[in-house]
Amino acid sequence: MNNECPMCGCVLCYTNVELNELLPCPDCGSDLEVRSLDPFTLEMAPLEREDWGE
Amino acid sequence: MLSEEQLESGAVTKRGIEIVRGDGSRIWDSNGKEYIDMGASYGVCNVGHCNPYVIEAVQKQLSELIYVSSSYDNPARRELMERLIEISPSGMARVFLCNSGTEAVETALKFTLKHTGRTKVVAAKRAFHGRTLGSLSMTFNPSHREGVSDKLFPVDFVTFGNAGELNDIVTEETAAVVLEPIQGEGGVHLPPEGYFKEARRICDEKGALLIVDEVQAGMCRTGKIFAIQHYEVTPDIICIGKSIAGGLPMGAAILHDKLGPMPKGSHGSTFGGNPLVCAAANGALRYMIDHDLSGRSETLGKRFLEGLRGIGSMQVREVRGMGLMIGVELKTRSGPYLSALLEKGIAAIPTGSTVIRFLPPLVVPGEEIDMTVKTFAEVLDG
Repeated sequence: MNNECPMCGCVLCYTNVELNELLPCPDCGSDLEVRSLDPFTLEMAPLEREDWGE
Repeated sequence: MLSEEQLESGAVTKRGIEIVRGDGSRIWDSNGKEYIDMGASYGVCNVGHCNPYVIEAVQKQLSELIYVSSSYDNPARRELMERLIEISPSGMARVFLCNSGTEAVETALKFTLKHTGRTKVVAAKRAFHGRTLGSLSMTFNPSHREGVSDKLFPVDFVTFGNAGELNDIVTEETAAVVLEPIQGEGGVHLPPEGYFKEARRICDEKGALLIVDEVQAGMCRTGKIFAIQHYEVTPDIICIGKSIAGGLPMGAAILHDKLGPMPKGSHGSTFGGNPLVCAAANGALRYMIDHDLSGRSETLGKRFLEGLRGIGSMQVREVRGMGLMIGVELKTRSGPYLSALLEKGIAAIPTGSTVIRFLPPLVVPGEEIDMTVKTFAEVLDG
């Protein structure tokens, strides 16, 4: 089960998630997307636009 | 005629509207459409747009003296520094005035590295301290700093709120621990109870300085003048910016008395402490105190949080905040909801891909908070 944050390795423990749901890593804050429920797979959510930092 | 987007560097994400006027909590675009400014332009306009105290102070100062170097004394500057020390936690004694929050953070870092003779800095994951190279070094996500500032000085990153991890990472090589009292850009995250008391204890034990970045959370935003006051902890350096001067650019690093003065010539700023912006800041601070914006923020913040939590939408994962520093985390991208809110006259701001941040001017009327909650509920439903 791939429930680790690809950025920092933190193990995510969310339950009742849906496909394509966005989950923030509770450790580093990276936005992750649920790419598959079985097997449970998280990937970095694609950045739609740069809107960080103010 | 070229648009601003065509002329601008390309670095800034544009919202697609042109704002030409502001008054209190409201802004108007060039078509005359009115918006409730639920972002205060990223927390800058705490005293509202075109605040009367700020306008009066600036107009008076404009006719007296706009600029003179801080190597000359000036009454507006002296008054501001005195005022900042007065409202700061007991023991804060000196002020370095600059032009932005990130400059205040750079000042704190530079001073700390020289003062302690140490090399390492500890910062939190999910933090944001600014975009200049030193501040940027303390951003965890490597994509924001790789190839740019990742080699300036070593930074150890900790999980915000984890005192045990902080205790393990801070050593006698650590110059400073740099923390936001509430992580704003990271998604409006509050620390667990006791975290900052532990951070203070760990810093004292290891001889590291505790630097608190109040650029977003400070200036009455969370229900106290400085958010660190909620935790009854006195830091070594407080960094402020954004709302300090009513919308004009200013930053400041406020230093604890025990650090002593900065060595002569060790730092400087051409425009830092200029009389015009000091006058504006004096006006803004007087307004904050005269109108008890801290109390206002506390009371209206509770109303806002209650309203948002009461919406009960399946789209919402969590509502969190303190005072009028509020984040709503969605389970999906916030972009379409922000656009829908803007269409309906509510200008909120994003944080990351999923969090909608509400940072209204602290002068916002209660009715506008209720209207925002109602509109947000409609947008989530629709």
